[in-house]
Amino acid sequence: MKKIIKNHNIYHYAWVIVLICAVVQMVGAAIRIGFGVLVDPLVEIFGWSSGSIGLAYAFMSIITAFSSPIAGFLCFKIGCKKTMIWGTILFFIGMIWISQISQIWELYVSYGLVFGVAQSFLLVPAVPIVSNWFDKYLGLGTGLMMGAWSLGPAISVQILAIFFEIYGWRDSFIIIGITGTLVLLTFLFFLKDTPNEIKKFPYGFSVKKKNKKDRNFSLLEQKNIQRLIYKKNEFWNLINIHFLGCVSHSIILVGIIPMGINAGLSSLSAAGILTTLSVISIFSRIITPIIADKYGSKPIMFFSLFGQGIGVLILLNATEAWEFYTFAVLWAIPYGGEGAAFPIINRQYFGKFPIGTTYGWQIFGAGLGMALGGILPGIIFDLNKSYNLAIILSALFSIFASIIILFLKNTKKEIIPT
Amino acid sequence: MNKISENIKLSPRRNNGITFMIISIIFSILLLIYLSAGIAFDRSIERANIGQEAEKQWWEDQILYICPLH
Repeated sequence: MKKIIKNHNIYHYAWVIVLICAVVQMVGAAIRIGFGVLVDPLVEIFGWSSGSIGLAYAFMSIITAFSSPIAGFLCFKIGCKKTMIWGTILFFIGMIWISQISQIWELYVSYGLVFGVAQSFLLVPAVPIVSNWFDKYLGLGTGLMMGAWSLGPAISVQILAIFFEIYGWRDSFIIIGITGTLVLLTFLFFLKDTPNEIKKFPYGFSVKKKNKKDRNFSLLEQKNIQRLIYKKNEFWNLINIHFLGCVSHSIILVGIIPMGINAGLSSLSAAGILTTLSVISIFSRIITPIIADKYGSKPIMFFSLFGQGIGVLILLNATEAWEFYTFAVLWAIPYGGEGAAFPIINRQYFGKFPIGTTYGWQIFGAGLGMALGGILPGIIFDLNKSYNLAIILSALFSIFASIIILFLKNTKKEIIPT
Repeated sequence: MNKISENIKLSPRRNNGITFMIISIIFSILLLIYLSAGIAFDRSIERANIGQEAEKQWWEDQILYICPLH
């Protein structure tokens, strides 16, 4: 233990970067998962069907998907920090607009379009920035940042539920929109894209062990190496795995509150299921990148996807609150690990080559998956008056992803000569 | 577990990325068609019960033929 502590320096600026990116990720992830709380008030006030409201979520996810490679490109073109500032501006516009909606098309534009772009501009740049700041222990840095993906929703779902009760949903969005924007801008002020900007070395960097791989890539090199990456099976499989994994858990994230209410739980108790799984998944989001960094990404990714697929089957027979909460506790562990190892497997496959574009494409797959998964529970329930088919599909998508993981190359060796 | 999983080699390796991608896309599209067919079927029954020609969507007639799938 002492040796581990001795190897680390808590005064390094890389930890400030992790903190900033964590806060940004919290807000970005909260946009996505907070949607579940919004469904019931909108059904109640406007009489819109849950299926048509779910379309806004699907639209948002599609927009996030398509704007993610753009976010990766902007990271490279104008810088990650500026991309995140644009994301913050869009977050503010989206929050204020949602508070004023009265037609369903306004929900599609404010939540779907504006939040869709905001989410990708906030989430995608965080990973390349943290990667730039860590030479060693990237798993630890990424894990701490990824933990925020769960913490954000866990806090925001409760805050939204409480604010809805006290202020009503319109004022809640205004208050959270203004406060969230101010917090984001304050944190982004201290963000630096690379250690070079403030004449520092990345965390874990050793001048003695400096080798030829520690270098900057010219524009032409980046273009050529990126072309090579596009030709690799791993590039396509990782996008596909993220897609399948996200379809699977998106079904649950969007459907779990209505599933609970449909089973007779109160809305507060049903919202508590989402909070529980968000809180528990913090642990696996933190620990997964660390394990992936130390022992290779494939085993932990396989465990996460396979566990996510099998675990969801608990919901097939769930009717009591304790059954839903047992599911939340058990399923949250593999769910949390699903996306957390991606930054690490990118480093293991592509070395220190800038991963903005590659990661942007992986988020593209994730976004499409979230979109497809988001519409399934609503439509399936409208048709069958039951969520069972949605649950089985969630399991199938995850298990297929876990099979694809077995086809990935060993992560011990880089697959691109950088 | 690490060693086992990391050393598992399944074939074929060649172009499996694109192959799996195509399988995922086709399955997703079929799923969406199946669900759309279900909606179209429900709406056609609804219209028949109400006995009026109301708000027919452009895609409903085209997709109705796969209703038995639902």
